[in-house]
Formats: sequence, C-alpha cells, structure tokens
Amino acid sequence: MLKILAVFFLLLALSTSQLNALDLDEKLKLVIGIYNLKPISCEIDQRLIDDRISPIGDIVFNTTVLSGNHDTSCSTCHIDEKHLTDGLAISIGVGAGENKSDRQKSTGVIVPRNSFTLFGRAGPNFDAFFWDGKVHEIDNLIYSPIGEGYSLGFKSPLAVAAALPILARDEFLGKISFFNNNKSLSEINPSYYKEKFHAANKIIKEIVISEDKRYLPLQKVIKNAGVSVDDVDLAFIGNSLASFIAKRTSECKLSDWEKYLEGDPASLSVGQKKGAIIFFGKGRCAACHSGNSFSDFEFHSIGTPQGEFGTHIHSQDLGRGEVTFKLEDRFKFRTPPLIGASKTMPYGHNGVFKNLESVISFHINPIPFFVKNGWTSGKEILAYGKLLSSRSSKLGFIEIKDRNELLSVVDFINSL
Amino acid sequence: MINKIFKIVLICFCIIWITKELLVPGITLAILYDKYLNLTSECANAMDESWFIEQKKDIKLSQTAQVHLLVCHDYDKTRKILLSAGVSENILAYIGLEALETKQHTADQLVKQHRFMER
Repeated sequence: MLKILAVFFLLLALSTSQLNALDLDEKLKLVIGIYNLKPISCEIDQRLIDDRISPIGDIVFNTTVLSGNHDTSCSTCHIDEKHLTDGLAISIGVGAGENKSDRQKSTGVIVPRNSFTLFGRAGPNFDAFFWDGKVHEIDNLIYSPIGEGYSLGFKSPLAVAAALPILARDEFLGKISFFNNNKSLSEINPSYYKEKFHAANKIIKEIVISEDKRYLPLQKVIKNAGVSVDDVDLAFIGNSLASFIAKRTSECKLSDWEKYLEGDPASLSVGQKKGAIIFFGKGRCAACHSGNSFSDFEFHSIGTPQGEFGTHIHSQDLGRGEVTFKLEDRFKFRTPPLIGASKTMPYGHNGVFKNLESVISFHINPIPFFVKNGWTSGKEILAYGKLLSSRSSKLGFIEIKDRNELLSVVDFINSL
Repeated sequence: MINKIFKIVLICFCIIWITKELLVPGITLAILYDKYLNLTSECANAMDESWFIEQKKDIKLSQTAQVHLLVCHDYDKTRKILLSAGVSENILAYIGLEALETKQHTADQLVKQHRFMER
C-alpha cells in the first residue's frame, strides 16, 4: 500500500513539475514575442571581414609589434582562454613584460578599467564601444577621440575601437621615465586628438620599412597581402584588426538561451526559465539589458563603487561624463551586453563585483555590498554620495522578493 | 692682491649663483611642495565641479561653485611664488600630473588595494 502511495505521489510530483514547465514555456513564448528575441551572438557583420588583411590583424592582435616597448599586444588583455577578457578586475598594461599570468605582481601600469570580451562586437548592430562609448556610430558618423572615423579611412566603428589602444600611453605606448622614452611614447603621447592619429601614422610608416628584425613578421604579411607600404596607416591597421576580430568571434557556439530561442525547450532548466521571466519582467533587467545583445547601448549609472583607481582627477571615473562633459552623463557607463556574461567575471567598469550575484544585488540595493566588503577606497566614505545621486531611477522599480528569485536570474544569465 | 680679489669675487659669484639657482628654488619647493600639490588638485576639482554645476542652472548652487573656485586664487599665488623662486615650469608640470593623479600607477598598488578589500 505504501509503495502504491509513493508511486502515486511521485507521478503527481512529476506531472505537476511538467505542468509548471509548460506554463513557463508558454510565458517565455510571450516574452520572446514581446521583445522579438532572436539568436545573434554568432552573427557577424560580413562587411568587416576581408580575408586579404585579416592575417595583418592577427599579427597586430597577437604580437607586440606595435607596442612602444614590445611588451603588450591586444591579446594581453583579450585572452583566448578567458573568453577574450583578461579575468582581472582592472587591466595591467605596459611595463609588465610579455607574461600574461601574474600581471598583478608585476611593475606594469594599471589601466583603470575592466577588460571586456570581444564576442558580439563584430555584430551588425553593435555601435557603441568601450565602457564610456567613446567610439560611437550615430547617423553614419563614427564619433571618436581622434575625429570622425570614416573620414580618417576607418571602415567601421569596431576598426576605430580596435586602433585606439595603440594610441594609449598605458596600454601600448610605454612606461614614462625621465630618460630613454621610446619613440612611440615621445611622439604619440604628447599629441592631442587628431594629432595622435597623424603621429601614429608616422611611427607605423617607419615600422613597415624598418630593418629591425622584430618587425619582419608584420612586414611579411603586408607583403603577402599585396598591400603597398604607402597604404599602411592607423586606419588600415584598425580595419585589419576589425577583420581579424570578426573572423575570430564568428567561431562561436550558440548559448543555451539561443538554443532555446531556436526551439529546444530542454536547453534551459526550470530555474533558468523562471529567471528569464523575472529578468524580462519584474526584475526590470530588460529595461536596460534589452534586445538580442542584452544592452540598449545607452548610458546608465548604478553607482558602481569607484575603488582606488580612476581615469579622472581624484581617481574618479566619470564614465560617459568624460566623453560628453554633460552633467547628466556623470558616472554613467554603457549598459554592458550580457552575451557570455558567465565567462567574463569580474563585473563593473572597474571589476569591483566578483560575481553575478554581487553585481545584481548591487543593482537592487547597494548597502549590503558595503556592509560586506567595506569601502573600496579610503575616500569613499565621504565621496560616495556623489555617485548615489547618479543612480538610475529605473533601479527603483526592481521587484525581487527573495534570494531564490535573485539566484534564478543569475541562473538565467549563466545561460546567455 | 688682484689674485685674491679675483678669488673672492669668484667665490661670491659661485655662492650667489648656487643660492639663486639651487638653494632658493630647492628650499622653496621643499617648503611648498605639499601645499602646491594639494592646491593643484583642489583647484582642478573645483573647476571640474563648477563646469557640471553651471549646467544645473541653479543660482544658489552656482554661488557655492564660485566660492569653491576661490581655492584657485591660492593655487595661482603659490604657483607664482614657486616660479619667482626659480622653480622650473617642468617641475611644476610634473607635480601637476602627480596632483591630478593621471600619472601611471603600477600593479603593486593594485595588489595592496585588493588585500585591503579582502580583510
């Protein structure tokens, strides 16, 4: 009798969970319809790819050929094994040697922002690059710190974004010393805006005709591509990098979420489905993390703690405010796309959040973060009020009532 | 006698030159270094904040920004004292970088910060 009852309850439990799963799928079908969601993480803007120049991008991306002191490359902070991030809170640039591990123990220079993944960046609708959107395509114009991108010879905003670190003191040019600063550092670093572009062009022209053996691999691929040395400038390098990145990031697999969108209901767990409904509904996550890239490509503030290092005076990071100088943009950062988010910890513009639970909790209520971790810098106790006033009012509508709901959102983001 | 006068003049010249070119700028810089560093940072911040406050179009808030900017008067004054004492523009520019915290920070400072966070 007991056995019969046990089997009965087991069947009842199974059928109930099945019913719930069906309900969740039906709800998700509605969600997908409302947001018009499609799998796009492996979508590439095919116009970016030029097989002739991709090998040039490969060399620039993976070797230190354009680094002032031959100690950094794009792959220093965008590492294959780390989903094209570096896994650090904030990156370590020049002066750390070529070693990609243990950079935090080196004498390398801090680049005070978190290195983001490159996946999704070559997608057709990706138009705002970097945490502060300093490269942004609007109405067929590429706004950037070195001028309008298309007029300089860049073929895409990705090409401009890929070329900008080559002009950055802490990422490529070198560590400043009183004596013996390398030529790239001496000529590019003191220049402003568009002048940096011209200074870099001069250096690149010298590199492509140099007799220094360290430049041979680059010279060889340029020759193999049949490109005239006269045509090689920063814009050409940017276009080559964009082509390489587009090819590299096209080698990706559909995420579990995207398999679900493709019609495989078993690719998401019940918890992930519940999380998805909260994400797109009362969690209000999709109010900013919207669309197929899970970003509105707009700029918002959650009041991320600033830590000891920033790009601006008093170690602050004004984010978008440093690009537009507008009051309303102070402390705002571009909504980070969430594709592959589970593989790109830590989170935030300065990597201050170690995991997804921490960053989501901070969106809901910043106080427990400080109770648990303390202030992130000595001056934060007196400075955090400035950031609090910048927090998006959208955050005030989040309705997550217990930790289970929060963890189901984490589960869902893990499927992206 | 002429030899003696020449030596005295030469010694006096050297003392004056060393005092003017090295001692006065060096001592003035040593005395005013921290003050100048602090004022550079405070004035830059005041200008920055004023820029953003002006966009708010709030008269009372703007008045507070004007008062905040008074710190730049102290900065100008200290800078002039340092220049007239013979401290070079290059040294002041370097202190400026230091004050604005746009100098290059090395990774060991990062490790220190993380140690603090994980206590």
